[in-house]
Amino acid sequence: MRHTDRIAVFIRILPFARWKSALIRRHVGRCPECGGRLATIEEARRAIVHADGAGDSERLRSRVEASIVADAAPAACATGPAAKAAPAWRWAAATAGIFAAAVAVAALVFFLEMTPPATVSRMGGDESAQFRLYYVKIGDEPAQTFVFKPHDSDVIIVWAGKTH
Amino acid sequence: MDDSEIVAACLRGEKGAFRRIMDAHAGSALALAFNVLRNRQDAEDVCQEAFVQAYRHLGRFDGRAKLRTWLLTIVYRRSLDVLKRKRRFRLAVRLAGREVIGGPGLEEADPVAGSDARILPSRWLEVLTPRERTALCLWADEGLTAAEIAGVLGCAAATARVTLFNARRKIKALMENAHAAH
Repeated sequence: MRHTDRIAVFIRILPFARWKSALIRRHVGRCPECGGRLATIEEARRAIVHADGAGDSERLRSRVEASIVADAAPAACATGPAAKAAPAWRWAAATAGIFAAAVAVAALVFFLEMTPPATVSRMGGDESAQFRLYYVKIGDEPAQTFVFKPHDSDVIIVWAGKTH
Repeated sequence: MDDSEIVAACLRGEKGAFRRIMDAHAGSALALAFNVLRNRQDAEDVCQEAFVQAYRHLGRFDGRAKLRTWLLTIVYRRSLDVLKRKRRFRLAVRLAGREVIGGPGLEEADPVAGSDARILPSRWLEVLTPRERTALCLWADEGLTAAEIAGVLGCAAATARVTLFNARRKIKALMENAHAAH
């Protein structure tokens, strides 16, 4: 395999454009053999169509002017306000979206606060409900366990400590 | 008169300001569209749409890029839209079990310089992707740098450099094959 072909394959298999670009700049740009495999600017110009052969600029200009006249008055050339209208509209939409999200979050928080946890409700409302703790182990050894239940709360605190 | 002055004149509503923009850039726009689309009629349609779009949104030109680059970006994007539409149309026709035999906007590129038997310049461009054609055209005809080409293509400068490298390599290979054949 020729040196230039190896470089071409290497450039093709490199995963990132940045790496490929670095190789092109640092090697292909300096190596005459690799550079010779690329079309020069004169050769590239022979491959493409130039402005003078691409079409009738005069006809294009008349078509564009006809479209512009039909489209809007000359004052509409100043499209600055129209261009700025889009961001304003986007800001309004974004603000409305944020407001709606805030309302939804507030409603969710309110709903959660109004609804007490199911376990607490059961403990308080149903006399037969019991809190049971069979055993607690710390390091595979039975732990000394204390259970607290404050009078004015449904919270139960379990304190477990190592036995000596 | 530089880009920002001529744009400001146009925004003030000065008659003839936009005509000066068109006079300066219509040729480049047509060349780019023709090289990407390889169809003269489509190229003119795309350039008309692009210039009308540019006229309507001239207030968005912020002067960070050259006016020419800004206009060519619009032309390039409109050209891609046309290519996508054509691809979709061809697919729909194929799915319907019919053959595309021609019609407006579907004919192959017309010969640029006569119709002799050798490979025509527009035929060479067939092996390039639209992105490669654009990069090659902007580099060879407009003299843009990789960073400016990247601005038109909407990619990183490194990607534009790789795209241009591939385009130049393919064109060189075609030229060597053509020379070998003769």
